[in-house]
Amino acid sequence: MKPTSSDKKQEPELERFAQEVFSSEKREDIWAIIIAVGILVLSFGFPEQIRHFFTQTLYLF
Amino acid sequence: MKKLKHLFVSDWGRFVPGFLFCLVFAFLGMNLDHFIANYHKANVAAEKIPALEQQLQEMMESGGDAEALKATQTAIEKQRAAVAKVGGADGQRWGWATFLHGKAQFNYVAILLLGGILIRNFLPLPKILLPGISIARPVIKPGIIILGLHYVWSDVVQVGGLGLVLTAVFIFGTAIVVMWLCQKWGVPDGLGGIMGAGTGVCGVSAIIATSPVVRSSPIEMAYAIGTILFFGTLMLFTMPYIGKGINLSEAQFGAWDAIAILNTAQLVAAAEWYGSEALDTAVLINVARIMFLPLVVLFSLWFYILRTGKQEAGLEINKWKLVKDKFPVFILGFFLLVFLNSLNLESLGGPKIQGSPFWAMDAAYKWFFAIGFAGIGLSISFEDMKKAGGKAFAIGMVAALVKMVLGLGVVLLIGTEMLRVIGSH
Repeated sequence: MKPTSSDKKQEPELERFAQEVFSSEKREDIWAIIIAVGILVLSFGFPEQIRHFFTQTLYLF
Repeated sequence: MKKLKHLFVSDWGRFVPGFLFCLVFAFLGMNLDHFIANYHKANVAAEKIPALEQQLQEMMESGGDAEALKATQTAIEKQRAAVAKVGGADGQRWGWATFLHGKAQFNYVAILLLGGILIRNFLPLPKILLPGISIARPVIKPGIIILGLHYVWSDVVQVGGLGLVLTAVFIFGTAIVVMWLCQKWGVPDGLGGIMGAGTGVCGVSAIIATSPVVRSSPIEMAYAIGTILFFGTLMLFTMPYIGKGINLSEAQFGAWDAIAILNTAQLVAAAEWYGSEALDTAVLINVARIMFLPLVVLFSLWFYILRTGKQEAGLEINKWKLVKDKFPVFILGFFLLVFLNSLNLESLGGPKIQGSPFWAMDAAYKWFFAIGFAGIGLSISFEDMKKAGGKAFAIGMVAALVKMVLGLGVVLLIGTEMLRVIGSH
């Protein structure tokens, strides 16, 4: 199905919207939330291993 | 998928070398801190062992309680384990470690900040590393989100509520005074606006957020950022020692830190340097402060543009969109964790409940802070700080000193109890 003229018009708007939303500060914030959620999910599944990783494994001594 | 694509910058590859460098530096800094801390604990243990053995001897001779005897024996074994961990023997001491870790506060914060400054300014750091170093600083944000586990809602209401009042007074007071001083001294509106926002709210983020609203030039932004970072660095390295010198409690220092130091990463570093209670109070008050960022941007808009009629004809300024755009989204993650922690759910546990998800998650925040501190230290260039000159510098100095002195007075008056985070289960 060929893109209609209104589809084409919407694409630059979508691009602009995405650019605005994902400005660098917002990008940092979203990544921060993604990373924190990732740690939470891993902690749910493997609490002892995650704790051990951050308090023992990462230390050489 | 198109929106997800914008989570990555198109030239992300140029950030990799510098970011990896920060990761390695942070790893080494944390390990050096751990190394010194182990010897410090061994030194403290070695000092306690003779007294405990003496105590045990006396208890055995006087026919002491079996439980008390067992407790003393367990304590001795624990101290011996600390000494054995560093391969030590009876009678050995490691005073150097206690001096570094205890008295000089030479922990991972100091190692990464000072080490980073030395590397940046005295060693030939390849330019290819600079982009990646700049993105290491915001890695502190996941750490702040995870710190939400240290609070329950009553802390947010008490310390956060008090923090909101303090920050409202200091933010708007400072922003108004600085903007007024700038107008009085003939500083261009663009520079005055971002100095007001930067010295009132939270430094670099506020400058970047306010800059397009007050139409400041890139050189004015450089002046403002240079001034803010210079004073932030100065206070970061002096305030903890001043606080110790006047016996400020950790909670009081945290509040003072959050009022006086403007950059989130720098104030987190100073608080973490001082102690864990200081960190808890500082982060909560800082969260309250950065929530004001959209409001200060709006105030700058009114002060410089709408009030003076400098708005361009036909230009519609969408204030709601401005507030939405400038709101620091990551603190929603912080508040979500505070909320979940306050529910006291068995499935989530808490940072002190062994084996629980929150207990595991809590171990991660220091590593995010370490990467962020590595980025901060390596970002502090003496060349950049020299850009802050003239009137902007003088105004920045006045604002910094006034906030520091008044802030100290206020926290001394309020006392420790109102500023202490009670925390969770």
